[in-house]
Amino acid sequence: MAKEEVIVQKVLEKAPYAEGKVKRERRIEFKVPADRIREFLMIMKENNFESMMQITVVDWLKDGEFELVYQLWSYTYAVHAFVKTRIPRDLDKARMPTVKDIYPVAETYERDAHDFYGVYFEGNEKMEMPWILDDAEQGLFPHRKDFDWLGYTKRKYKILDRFDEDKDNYVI
Amino acid sequence: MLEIALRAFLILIYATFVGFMFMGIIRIVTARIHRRVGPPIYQPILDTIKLLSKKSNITHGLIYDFGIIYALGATILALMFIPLGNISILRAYGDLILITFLLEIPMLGIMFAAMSSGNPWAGLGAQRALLTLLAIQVPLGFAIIALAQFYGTFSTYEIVMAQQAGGWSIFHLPLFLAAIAYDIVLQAMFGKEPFDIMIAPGEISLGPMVEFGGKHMGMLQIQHAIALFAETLFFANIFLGGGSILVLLIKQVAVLMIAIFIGAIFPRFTIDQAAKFYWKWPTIIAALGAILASL
Amino acid sequence: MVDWRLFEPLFNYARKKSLWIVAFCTGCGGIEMPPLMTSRYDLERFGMMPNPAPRMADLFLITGYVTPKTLKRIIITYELQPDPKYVLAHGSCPLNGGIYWDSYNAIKHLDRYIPVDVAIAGCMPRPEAVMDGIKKIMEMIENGTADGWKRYKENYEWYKKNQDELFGEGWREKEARRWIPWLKKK
Repeated sequence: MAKEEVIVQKVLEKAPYAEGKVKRERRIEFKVPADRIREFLMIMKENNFESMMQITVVDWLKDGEFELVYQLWSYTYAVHAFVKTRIPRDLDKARMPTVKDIYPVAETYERDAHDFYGVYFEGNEKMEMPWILDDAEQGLFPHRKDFDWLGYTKRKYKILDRFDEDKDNYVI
Repeated sequence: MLEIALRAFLILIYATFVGFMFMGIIRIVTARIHRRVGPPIYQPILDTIKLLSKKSNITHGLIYDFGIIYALGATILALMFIPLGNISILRAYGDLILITFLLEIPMLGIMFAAMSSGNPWAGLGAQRALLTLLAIQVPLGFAIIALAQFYGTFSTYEIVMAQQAGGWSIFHLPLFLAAIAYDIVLQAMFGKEPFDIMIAPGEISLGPMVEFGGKHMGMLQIQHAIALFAETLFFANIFLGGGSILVLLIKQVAVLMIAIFIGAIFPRFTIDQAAKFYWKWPTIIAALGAILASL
Repeated sequence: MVDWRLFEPLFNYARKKSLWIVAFCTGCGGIEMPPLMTSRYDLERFGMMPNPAPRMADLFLITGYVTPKTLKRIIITYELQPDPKYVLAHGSCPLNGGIYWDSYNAIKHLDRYIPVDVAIAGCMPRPEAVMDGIKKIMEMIENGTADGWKRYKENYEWYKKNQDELFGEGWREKEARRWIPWLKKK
């Protein structure tokens, strides 16, 4: 049995609520309900996934959901694990418990996700601190798919005649 | 009186010109070691003309202007005391400790100016410069003591005369050790690589120099050129036997080349490493030289 | 007194031959700087030198796209430089936004906010193209047409209006005080 399958089995024994599978060599994937993400990441950390690489947010507009992907890396096995969880994408419901006490680096990535997508991580006290975005875009969450990207750009930089919606017209 | 003033003026012109050429040599040789073509040798002169011709000039108060004049004045004064062939004017009064002291004063002047600008990088750089100054005192002191012990005098001119009779200083073992220690100290006085902690471009963005622009920086370039000339001249006089202007020039270039080669191939120390290094190896070598000289 | 205008050709020659660059890479084009500075293309033979301090620099290379946040720093750095100062814009992003033409976070026309002397097209311009632009700016300095710093003084109201339109009134003070509440809380 490959090492990836052994890891998946070992994790699933401790966390029966999760789904897990091997994607390919050195790449495994778990699906976890949103409210149990903290205990699942603790299990992962006990199973030699020492470092968090990133927290990615995927915006599924038609499903009305955000997919949060916690990417973990194990130096012991040299395996990359995706821990996926789904939460509703409405601004008031997009809330997650913070994992910064488990992986300290998560603090930065959570601020990132909050800045661009509006996911609020409860327990992270730096959530309101200014991060990458300028004051003008604060609270607009520009990487959401329903953000009017082009319209906002036109308004902000006052370049109405240049980028007309029908592409025959624009001059660059 | 007029003749003395004329000679002082000539020395100043000569020192500035040769100092600029030395700066050009530093840049060219460093470039050749990097396998680049490098700028023309008169590049520092062009830089200085450009800096002096800047149209706007920012000053941060009286101390800011005064510090630079102070540095330039101290360097020129030090230059006048060092024997330069037979045209030097104050060489009879040139005391070893006096010249060493005067060669370090410019750093203090630059620090006055830098600190008064209020820039945090300048403050940080001034702190580092002070620490470097503190670190080089110990080996420098021992090297001077070794010289004074060996020749029984503090006068630079008499040391040069003694070398004319009894061979160069570095051919005597105790003074050879002192020369090694002094050469390592010289690396920090030039602000060259293993000990360029106070300048540190890219780390604290030129340190004390960060606020100087326009004419202030132009004056500092001139000061740097004269200081480069004076420091190499002092080394060539007390360790390499002095001589006429032309002989001295060759010896100065040799001293400079050692500094460039060391500077081009070594990375930078951190401040604590530099202080530890100076208080350990050059101090031991120089102290050994001083002990041997007094035996 | 000496009439310094007599020496203006000498000064222009010195300015042309000793351009010091602000070491401030604003965008992706900063990666073109290492080959330009090191042994392959060696800009130092024209007397150019990267300089970490804006106070003694002459040439400002805008390397690549400019975000509003960077633009604030660019304007402040540009105003820190002493007076004959030149700006060279790399690539198509400072010209018209380039591939970020519909991005909310990249400036579309840099020359509305600070004066640009020479612009190089391309995405990214090769080091040869950058050297061509530098040669152009050297020619312009010698015959006195690189007058961006004069234009900035003369049309300061217009530039300031554009800057304030983008960032809002009093953005300098606001930016300087931005972190104070968060530092106090600690």
